[in-house]
Amino acid sequence: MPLADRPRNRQIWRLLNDAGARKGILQLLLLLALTSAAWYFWTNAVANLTARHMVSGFGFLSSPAGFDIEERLIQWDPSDTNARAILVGLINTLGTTAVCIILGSMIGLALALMRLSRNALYRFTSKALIEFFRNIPQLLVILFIYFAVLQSLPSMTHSVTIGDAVFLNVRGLYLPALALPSDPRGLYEFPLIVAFISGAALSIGKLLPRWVPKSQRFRVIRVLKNIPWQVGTLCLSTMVILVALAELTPIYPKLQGFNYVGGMRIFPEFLALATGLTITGSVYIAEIIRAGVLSVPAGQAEAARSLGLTRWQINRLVVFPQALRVIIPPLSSQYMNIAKSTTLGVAIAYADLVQIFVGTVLNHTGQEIEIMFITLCIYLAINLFISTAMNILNNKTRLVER
Amino acid sequence: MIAPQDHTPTGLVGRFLHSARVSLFYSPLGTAMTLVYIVVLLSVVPRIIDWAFVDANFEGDSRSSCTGGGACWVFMKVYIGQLLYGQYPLSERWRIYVAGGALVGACALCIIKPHRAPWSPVIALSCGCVLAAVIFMLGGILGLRSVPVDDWGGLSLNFVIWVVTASGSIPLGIVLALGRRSKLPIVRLLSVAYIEVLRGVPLVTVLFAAAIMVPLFLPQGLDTPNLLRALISLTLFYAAYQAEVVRGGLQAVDKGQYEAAHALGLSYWRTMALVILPQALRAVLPGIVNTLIDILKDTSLVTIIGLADVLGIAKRASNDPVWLGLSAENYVFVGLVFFIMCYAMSAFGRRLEQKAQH
Repeated sequence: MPLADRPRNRQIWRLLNDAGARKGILQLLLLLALTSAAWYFWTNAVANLTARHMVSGFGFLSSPAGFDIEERLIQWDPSDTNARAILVGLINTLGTTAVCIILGSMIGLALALMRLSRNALYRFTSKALIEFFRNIPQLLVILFIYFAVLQSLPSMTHSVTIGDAVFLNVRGLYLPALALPSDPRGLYEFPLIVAFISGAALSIGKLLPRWVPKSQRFRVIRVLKNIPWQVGTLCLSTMVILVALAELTPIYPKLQGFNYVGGMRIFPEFLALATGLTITGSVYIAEIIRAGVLSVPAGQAEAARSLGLTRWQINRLVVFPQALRVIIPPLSSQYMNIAKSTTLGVAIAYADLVQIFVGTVLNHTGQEIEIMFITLCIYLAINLFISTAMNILNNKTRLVER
Repeated sequence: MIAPQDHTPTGLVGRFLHSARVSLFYSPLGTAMTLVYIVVLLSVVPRIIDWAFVDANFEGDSRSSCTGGGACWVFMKVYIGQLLYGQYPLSERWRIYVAGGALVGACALCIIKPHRAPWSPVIALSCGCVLAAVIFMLGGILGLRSVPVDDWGGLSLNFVIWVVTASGSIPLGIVLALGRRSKLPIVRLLSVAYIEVLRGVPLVTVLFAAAIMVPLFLPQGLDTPNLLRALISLTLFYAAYQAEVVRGGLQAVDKGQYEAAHALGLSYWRTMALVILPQALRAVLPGIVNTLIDILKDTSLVTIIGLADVLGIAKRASNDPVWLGLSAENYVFVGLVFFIMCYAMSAFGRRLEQKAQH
């Protein structure tokens, strides 16, 4: 090879024949290609932005939003900042996610038990429901519930009612609510949340160990039980709840003119989104639970029966704890799917993070890159949070090997 | 749980009664459950039948023909053309079928190819079929009337999106999966970052991002149709999912296969193309089919960025002032269409899975 014979070329040739060097060069070329592509897109973006006289940056977050959000769980005023608009949307998103995960898990468990039932009718129904909802788009279910079911409900003045306390009509579901005595902004939110969290932690710590076998008790709960100031928390939270309840009075929704006043209004958008996601999520959860239960070898249940355990004890002490190990990993990805699917609410204008931030705020400010960046980061964070939480749970239920 | 095998009846009626006893009336609780179920069934099913058939109206072509109080199938009949073809011109709709046929032909060519036959003419012919499909859909040459992309719609648009996304995401997914398992650190890092980010964000935000960002990142004055942006984002999004499916297959291939290929002196690409990927892809074929079902269902999400796919048209129809108050009929139709397609595919996937196990 005459090319390689020349001394200067020989070195390059040797470099190209060296596997390590070749790998390095390849990767450098890849990086170079990607950087130049990014550079090309970036210069285009800069040119487009200057043509539109846009100023990039995150300054818009602290400027007043200037629009109203009807559907919200925290205080909101049009003069609040865009950053608070994110918070309003995020809380709506997280609230929907939590509702759908809880209800979906419950219905999914019911469907799984039906599918495993001895009764052929229940088995068949569960299978039919699961197959049907797994094979149609989620968005279709949501749109059907919103347009075909909720929009065909009677008008305000002809509401369907249960005992003059709960009203259902085309504008939503009206429920009685506990009214706070004065302007609640931030004053009652905090102690109520503290009370709720400590109460929940206590009830888990107190109740769970009784029906979860000793070997399966979560370490967190053991730690919680041993915290000496837990008694203090109990007293404090009871006090807060008592104080709050004493000042709270139930207020029933009442028809005044063409609108209901008082009580709590659940918007049809939320109803449609939550129902749709709960149904479509629950059929996947049902399949996950069923697969988990079936993964426990039949010998386990037979051995438990020969030890004289009752059917309920067999399921509770032998089958379910072992099934849980198989169930949790796919369940966590299903929960993440539900969190991601809440964005489908955009199709019916539910005020979630995407609708408020990518919809309204983007229309008002035009800060496209920044807004998409923040939105994607928030969803990544939500997913990371769910996967971390489920990983912790997974580690707690894992088989302890020698 | 012990079956009374000693006195299992033999006659047809006897066997029926026996199986009913075992599966429906096995205990007092079971009997009660069966009775409750029958009561619920008797109160729900007649209503559905009344709505869909007995009180429904099938004849006519306007709102006034719907007098039964049940389903107004006339509404669906009026919209069926749009639901299937969108705004595609009436006289040109046969072209959609020609294009579809060409695509089926392209797939069939690859499937029926004899084992020993060379690949290159088959690939050339398939590419020709795909090109023909594109020409027939778009028009503008060969004396075919030009149909702009914005007029595409209905179920045919869902198919277009599905075919493009499926055929784009699988090769890209394979490349990403190989990248994720590569020994080159930068390649691996980039692949992992791509896959994890795309799998961590909702498809809706990716669709929005493409709809908003693509015009921003392209030179000024270069206008891309909304459909193209949707196709790009769906393909990039599902490539990450396909990559995870393919990675499962790559991990399932025995290490000895890699070592044997290496010992034979095969290069990396030849090892992958001739030894590893054929085994890996066969192992995860059911997973790939599942992702294809997901893609088909998610083609309906383009409704959100304003494309007129079949669900988008059903949604528009429910806002039509002429047919105000009606919407369920079209959704039922769309649901049944999706159910039949997806169920058929999942049945196919299950068969593949069973075949792989035996």
